[in-house]
Amino acid sequence: MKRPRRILQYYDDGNIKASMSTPLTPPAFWILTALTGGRRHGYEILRETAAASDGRVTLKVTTLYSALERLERDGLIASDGEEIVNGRARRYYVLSNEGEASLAAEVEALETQARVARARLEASRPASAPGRAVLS
Amino acid sequence: MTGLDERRFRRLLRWYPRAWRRRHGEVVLSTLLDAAEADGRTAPTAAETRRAAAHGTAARLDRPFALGTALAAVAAAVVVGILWTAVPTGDLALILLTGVIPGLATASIVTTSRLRGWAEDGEALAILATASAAWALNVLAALAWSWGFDAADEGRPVVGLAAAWLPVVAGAGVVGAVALGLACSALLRRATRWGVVVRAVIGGACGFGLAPVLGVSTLSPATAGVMAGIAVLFVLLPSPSASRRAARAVSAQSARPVASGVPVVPSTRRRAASRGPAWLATAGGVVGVAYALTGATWSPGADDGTAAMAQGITLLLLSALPLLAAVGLYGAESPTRTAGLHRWGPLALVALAVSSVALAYIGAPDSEVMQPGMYAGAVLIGSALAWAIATRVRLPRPAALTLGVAVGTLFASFVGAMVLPVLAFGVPVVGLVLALRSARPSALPPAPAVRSGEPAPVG
Repeated sequence: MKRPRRILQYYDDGNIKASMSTPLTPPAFWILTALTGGRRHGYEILRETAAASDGRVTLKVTTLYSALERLERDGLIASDGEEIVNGRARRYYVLSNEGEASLAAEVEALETQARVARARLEASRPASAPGRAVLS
Repeated sequence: MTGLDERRFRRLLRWYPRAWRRRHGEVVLSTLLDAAEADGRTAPTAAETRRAAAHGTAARLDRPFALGTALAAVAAAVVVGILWTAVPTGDLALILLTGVIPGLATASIVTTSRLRGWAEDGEALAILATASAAWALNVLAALAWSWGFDAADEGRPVVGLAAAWLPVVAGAGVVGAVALGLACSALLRRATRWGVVVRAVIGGACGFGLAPVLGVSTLSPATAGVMAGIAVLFVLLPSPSASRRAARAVSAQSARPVASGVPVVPSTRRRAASRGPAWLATAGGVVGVAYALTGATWSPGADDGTAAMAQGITLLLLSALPLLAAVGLYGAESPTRTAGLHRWGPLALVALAVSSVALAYIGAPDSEVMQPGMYAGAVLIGSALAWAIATRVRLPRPAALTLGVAVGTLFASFVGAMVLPVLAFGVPVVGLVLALRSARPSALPPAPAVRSGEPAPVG
């Protein structure tokens, strides 16, 4: 049984963000988000995703593993040992430096989109809206 | 755990190839059972079954499949090469050229794209299914056309498949366009944040533009050779993202000893060195393109459009020489790239090939004068390909050598040096891209550890 690895400490390497412009798929986004909490196995990721998204995202088990396989191949996550608990096999996963950088870049992109949308929405509101009066 | 019909869950795993089941089967089964237990189910949901079918089938598109189909395409291309010299218009040659070889190459390329994350499982399956149908229709279209032609030649009535050539050709074009459109759309999804409608429109436009050209071009053996070659290269060359990751890991290592206060940045100087030749190639390339297209109207040396085109191509080919130097210098920056001899060797051979074709073009359009230079160019470029492949693919040495020589020979005999004058028109574009990329600082800033700010340039 391997010990959980801590592989996030070298995050602030300017180079790591290099290829992070590609968008993450929703399953990939939620898996990476779940793994920010540390080492998790498949079913824990499913549960955390459902909880974190208020039940709006429910991953199918096969979708989960096809996404995990891809993320592992891309180096965004790493598998971190297996255990048999109550007769069931559990494989654990951890986030890699790249995975964390990738998630951070995605969050940044989403925040930019949200900022733009919010600004447009506020600009289109009637003059009584707060902030509008100050500006005009 | 009682009440759960474990066999029904285990049955889902049968969609997957055995190797996959051995690696992931128990873990996936356990998670399926966990999820079912939490929902109070005793059997898999319909969605789980559907996903398992799609993902399991796609999982069979693995590296051995990609390699097998690519090598089969090369083998078939060799068979066609032999057939072509014996019976140029035989139906077997036609079937291999217009369907089997491009089909195998497509299967290999789609599989490698899936493995590199450029296409999702569902996308890869959809592209593969439509592309297979398109190549099958392409074979029928080619046979219909050929049989109809023979019948008309001999004064026989045109019946059966031959009579139906128009709908068959149209069908092949439409299905091929859909396959190409799906592929374009998958690539755009990976590279951009565009919505599905935008991707469908652009993908559809690409598909309808490219499909007829590609379909018709399979009548030439060169297309089969090139497609088989691309498939082999694609599956065997290391993935750029993997090299980038390795390079990044190495640069992170070298950046770590911050005791000196300045991380080691060995690459910047060499990259800057590639800027000069890249700009030179761009300038020469722009002049070359301008001369090729307009020289006839102002240059005293060009009597007509053909002469201006030939002289412009000579200029473009000469501009390719500094570009090759820039490519070599630029490639030197990455610590994971191939050793110096194996980087500069193939580039030097390409430079010789380019020079030889440039010399040949001085004699254009007299094909007899051009021939020796073009032949020398074909041999040189084939050798360059063989060298580059043999030293880069991840195979045991004898296999790598055999493959390199096979691809080099195929390329030299099918495609030859004719591709160089066409590629030469890309010199100013590639030169400009390389010059701009070399101009940007590539690695860490002198102060270590900047967490936010602009993303670093890729490469």
